[in-house]
Amino acid sequence: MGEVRVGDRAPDFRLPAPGSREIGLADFRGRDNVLLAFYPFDWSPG
Amino acid sequence: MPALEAHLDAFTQAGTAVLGINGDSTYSHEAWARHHALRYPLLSDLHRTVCQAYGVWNPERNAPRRATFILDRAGIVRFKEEYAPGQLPDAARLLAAARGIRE
Repeated sequence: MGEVRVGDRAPDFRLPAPGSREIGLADFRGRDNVLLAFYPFDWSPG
Repeated sequence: MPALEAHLDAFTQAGTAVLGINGDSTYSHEAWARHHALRYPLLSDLHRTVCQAYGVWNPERNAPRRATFILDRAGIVRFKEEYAPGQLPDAARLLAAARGIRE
């Protein structure tokens, strides 16, 4: 498993989202900061 | 996460896109987003590859640990925070961190 630290290049990805969309980090390169919020489960306080 | 939604306009003004991510399906995400009226996208890491790449995959729970990364426009990690079970992020502090990112 990777370890990502401040100062590292963020691993790129492209993933499905609702509405038959796909979203990837490349969509934001050169335009916006990106806040990535990882969380365990949708329907549990986790 | 509802706390992020409450600050979403401020994140947008700070030039920061917000993405939620875990291993749940788009069906689950769609219902969850509707339930909380979330306007930011929830991504489905169905094969767990992204969670593993970011070092947040927890095989004991078959789910990612709760964690926040803020990347700048060049794709560099500028902020990282991990949380204990049951601990939620302080969205106001995340907003302050996002506002502080300059290139």
